[in-house]
Amino acid sequence: MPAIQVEDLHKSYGPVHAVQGISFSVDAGEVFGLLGPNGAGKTTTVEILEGYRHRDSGHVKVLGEDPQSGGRRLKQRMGLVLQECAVLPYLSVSEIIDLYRGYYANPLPTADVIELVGLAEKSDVRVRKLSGGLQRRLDLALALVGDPELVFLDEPTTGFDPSARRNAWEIVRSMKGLGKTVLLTTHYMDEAQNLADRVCVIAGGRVVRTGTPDSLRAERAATRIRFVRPEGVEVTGLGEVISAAGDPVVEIVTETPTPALHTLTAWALDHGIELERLEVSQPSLEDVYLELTRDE
Amino acid sequence: MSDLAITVGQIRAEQRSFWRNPSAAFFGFSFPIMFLLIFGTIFNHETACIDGTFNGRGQCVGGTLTPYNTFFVPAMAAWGVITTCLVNLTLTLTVRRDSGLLKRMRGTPLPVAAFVVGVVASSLITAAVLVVLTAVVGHLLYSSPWPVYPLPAVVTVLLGGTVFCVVGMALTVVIPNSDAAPAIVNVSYLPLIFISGFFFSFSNTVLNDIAKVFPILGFKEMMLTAFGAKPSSNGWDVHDLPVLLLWGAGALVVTLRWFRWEARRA
Repeated sequence: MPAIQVEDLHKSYGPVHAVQGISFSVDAGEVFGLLGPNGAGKTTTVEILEGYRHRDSGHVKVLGEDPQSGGRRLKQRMGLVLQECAVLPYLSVSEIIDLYRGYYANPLPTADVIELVGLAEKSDVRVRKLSGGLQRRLDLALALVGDPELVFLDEPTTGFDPSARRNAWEIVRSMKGLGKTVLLTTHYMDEAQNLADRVCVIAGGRVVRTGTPDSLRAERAATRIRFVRPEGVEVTGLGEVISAAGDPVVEIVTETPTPALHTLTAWALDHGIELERLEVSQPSLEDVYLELTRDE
Repeated sequence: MSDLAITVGQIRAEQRSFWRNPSAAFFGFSFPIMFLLIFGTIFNHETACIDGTFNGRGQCVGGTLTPYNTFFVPAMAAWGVITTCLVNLTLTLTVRRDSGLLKRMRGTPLPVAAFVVGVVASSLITAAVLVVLTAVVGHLLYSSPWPVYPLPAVVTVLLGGTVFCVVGMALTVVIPNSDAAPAIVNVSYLPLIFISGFFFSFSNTVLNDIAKVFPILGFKEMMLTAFGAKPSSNGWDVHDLPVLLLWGAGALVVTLRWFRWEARRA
């Protein structure tokens, strides 16, 4: 049974048709990335799954239950990280985790949760004294303390510095390692690429593409070869060359990078040229994402 | 954990949050205690004319003459209950609604009832502490008498406090955001404190009639009666109970129907 099933979901706010027939399903144990620009309907979709909003039409099952009527029993099995971190500011980290533990039937030990998110040294510090990044980690801890089967992470690393993001990624990976299903929404394509087993790109309230990050990238199979145009040498005979006039960077887009690279390097050796800043790259998930959501 | 244990945990968390927040504790307590010290000192050897007014020759007409602080201490105790249960609770809830705390809480299995009981019970505990502090300060500094009818005093504080908590929750419905909350709360209740005779009684038919519509006047009268400042046979003031209960019931209906757990979308 899938952990999440969404079929033909619709939701309007007055005249705004925010979600216009979204369908996807998330397998148990999967990290699923929901991607899309602001206003695409991501948050509305997630909030329907979390039980905050009622759908207009469509079928939704979360852990086999309808989130509209699942109530407390369903909430026992879910953990949420919302966009705002909001907990009682005058309680300490361990006090707030202890408080939340009490809400769940089978919670994890406080010390384990604190350790998992790397707040061991801050366990007696009051929440209001924590930096934004550390508060976000506490948020993760509170999502995990009930030992949920399913975790919703709504933009969990927004505002993180690069090392804090890497730490958060490790935590998400360890959630997956514990067999938890994770629904992740994010603006960062590298985050989706690194964490998600599958992603669903939505735009304008509709699903544009669903698949593994690699399968999405494969849609734009062409490899890019780039180098700086050598001075005083005409670049000819290298196949499809894309380069703006005056732009010092030459870009070759090719479906067959091995012979193209062979031709290029042979040409460079013939002319006795060192190819400055030579790089061969695959299209990133971000390139594909930008293409898919360009009209929004 | 049982729902009872969860509720106890909520009360403890609310109490910790209150006492550790210096500005909440200070503002909640400073108003009634500060005015008790100022007016209590100024009018320490004066008299109050409860339920009546002084005429031009200083005679209490239509009321009961008592030492000023016998009247003023229970009045300030009543104000303390109102600041704690109505003002502080309203401000706290609107801040939490704006910060997303209420929304996050709704995403956990915490029963709504346990949360609400936690908030209300914690407010009642704080209110009770403030009432005791007011009575002790009044007794030590101004020799005001201890409450003559302890049981009615306790019941009045708990019942009135609960009503003002519910009125506070209902008030959050009309407060757009936490920035606007202090102004709206103060404008809605402070004038009523003055026209309900918390400092001295006066005779103005229009203002007296307006005050009678709201629960603040009746609650003060109940406190005066329970403290023995107002003559009664047993300390129970049932005359003022209906207005208080009606407000509680009305506020409960508004709260159940329109209370918002999330900030309005910008």
